[in-house]
Amino acid sequence: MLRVRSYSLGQRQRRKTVLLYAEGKIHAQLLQSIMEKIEKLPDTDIPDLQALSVLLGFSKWALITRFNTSELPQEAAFALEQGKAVILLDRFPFALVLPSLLSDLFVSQNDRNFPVIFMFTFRILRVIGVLVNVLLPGLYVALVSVNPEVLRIEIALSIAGSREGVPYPALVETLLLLLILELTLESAIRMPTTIGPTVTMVGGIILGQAVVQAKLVSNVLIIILAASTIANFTVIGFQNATALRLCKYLLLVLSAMFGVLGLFLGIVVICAYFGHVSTFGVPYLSRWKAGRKYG
Amino acid sequence: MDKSRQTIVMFWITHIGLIFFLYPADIIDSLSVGHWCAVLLGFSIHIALVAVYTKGLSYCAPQNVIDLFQSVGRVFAFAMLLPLTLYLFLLMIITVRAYAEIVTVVFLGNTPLWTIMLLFLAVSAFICLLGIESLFRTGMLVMLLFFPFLILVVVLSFQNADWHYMLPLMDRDTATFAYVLRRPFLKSMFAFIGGFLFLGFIPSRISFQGRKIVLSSLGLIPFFLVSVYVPLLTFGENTASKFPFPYIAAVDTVDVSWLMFDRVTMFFMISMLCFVILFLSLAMWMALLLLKRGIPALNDPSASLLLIAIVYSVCLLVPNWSAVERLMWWNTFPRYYAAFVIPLVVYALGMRHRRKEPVRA
Repeated sequence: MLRVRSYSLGQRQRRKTVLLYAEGKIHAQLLQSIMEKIEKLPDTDIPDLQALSVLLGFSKWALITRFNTSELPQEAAFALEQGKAVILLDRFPFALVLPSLLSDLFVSQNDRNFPVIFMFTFRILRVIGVLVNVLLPGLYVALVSVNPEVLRIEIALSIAGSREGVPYPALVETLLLLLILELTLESAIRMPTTIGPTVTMVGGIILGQAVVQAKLVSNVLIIILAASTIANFTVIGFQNATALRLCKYLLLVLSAMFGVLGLFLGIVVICAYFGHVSTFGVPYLSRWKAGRKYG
Repeated sequence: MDKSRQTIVMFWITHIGLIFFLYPADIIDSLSVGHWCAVLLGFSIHIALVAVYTKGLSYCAPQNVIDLFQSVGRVFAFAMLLPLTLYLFLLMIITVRAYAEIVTVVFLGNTPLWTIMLLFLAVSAFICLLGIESLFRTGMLVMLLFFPFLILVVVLSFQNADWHYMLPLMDRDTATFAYVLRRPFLKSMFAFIGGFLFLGFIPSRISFQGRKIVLSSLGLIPFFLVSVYVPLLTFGENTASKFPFPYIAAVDTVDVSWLMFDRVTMFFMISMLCFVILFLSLAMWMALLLLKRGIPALNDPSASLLLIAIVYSVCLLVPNWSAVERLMWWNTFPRYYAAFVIPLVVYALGMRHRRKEPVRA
């Protein structure tokens, strides 16, 4: 049964806040902790979601988002049905779903509108997307600069050939191009749709082609970064995608220092971080089931 | 809440990480025919110890080993746990030093040893400081990511097997268990013993069923056998005994034409190393627990810094591989103490505990 609790938070800037949950389905401890946090500090202003996450007691510097945002009513309804909590804030155009779990990277309610096989295919694709996105740039740097002997000799030679004339180490090369890519992404966000394609063209075609011809980066790297960037957007949720984008840099640096070993240990570090994060006692790495006990 | 699954996964990780590097060489060194006998003997000792240990722990359920020993008396606990701490320290030193050496030998020839050791210690200290529950969850995720790969390599490693090398199955030496007191066999027991002590240290929040652990450890037999038999079947006994890491050498012979990588070994080794890192952080977590109990003034970060500093400086003092081997041999005694005395004492105390409160629902 759907329950709605309304609060009016803040002193100078009163903001209506609604906590939605399905009674009997929500994990009692989760509900209680959220309510406690909100009711304890009713005078805190919430100008933005950072303030909300401070109010809820999350670390400011967390890499992983503790609530998923969704603009689709179907997603929020499904989350409620599953026993999660949904917070709606006045003047924010989306619902905040608590807690966020690793599976939210891959699982969307909309998948269930397709046959089961399609659903699993999509999910597997997303998992592969995450792995490709996080691993490929690091793998490239590791294989080119530290452990070329791992590759088959033909591939090693062709990569070495494509890097002929590139003046700096693989790490710098990758970081430069990644920077350009991130700039492209960032600039495209607030662009009117009419100019959007221009950025794509300038960034993708002109820059990509010219940068290879000018021997500033190798063309294999262009392929790898393009694949990695595309893979990045298979992940559900912008915040999740951004977190993964940041993880990529950790792996990149470790790979440049320790080769494939650094890459793999970087994965272990990221896994450990994921394992560490939990939201109100629900671990990020747990499998969500309505009515299940955590902690 | 029953966390048997996580515990089992951690149990597997710690053992699999230990099996594939040094274990096959020790077994191949210890006898020339019928290696299965040595493997199975070691394994049955292992499983008996695990069974005794988990049984003892279940008798005194919410207490862990430290609490249990302290309930008898402070001096008793100190005397019992001091060798264990020594063992854990030596274990960490050996693991870090040996695996750093393996890494430089096999694929990071130009990287200085001290950076690799520092990396190992830093990563495992990071994981260890996040807490035991995080460590267990990390283990699940790492297992999920790397285990399919491991299975693939294990299957592929049979590519060059010649099954005739399997024979003869037995000889006099094997049948009379004459190899048991030989040094390589005694050393080989590290693969069976290092991994299960953590069961007695995990807090009662992470509960597990001993029976499930014992049953699941049966699943490790194939890995032990594969690690010894693949090099034997690939090279034959005479050649295999010449390699320092026979299984790695055997995987190196595998050629997979559809893979873009020339050396499957490297990825295999590194996923093993990730398991070893988890094992290391588990050992570090246990050592921290003991250290903090011994010196209550220490808090988590300072204790771990102290620990890393000690381990790291000793690691730097170890000059070469023969010194590592000497250390391994020295560690055999504390290891047997940790492996036999601790489980048996836990069992005895557990029995006593149970007799004291006979009605415990």
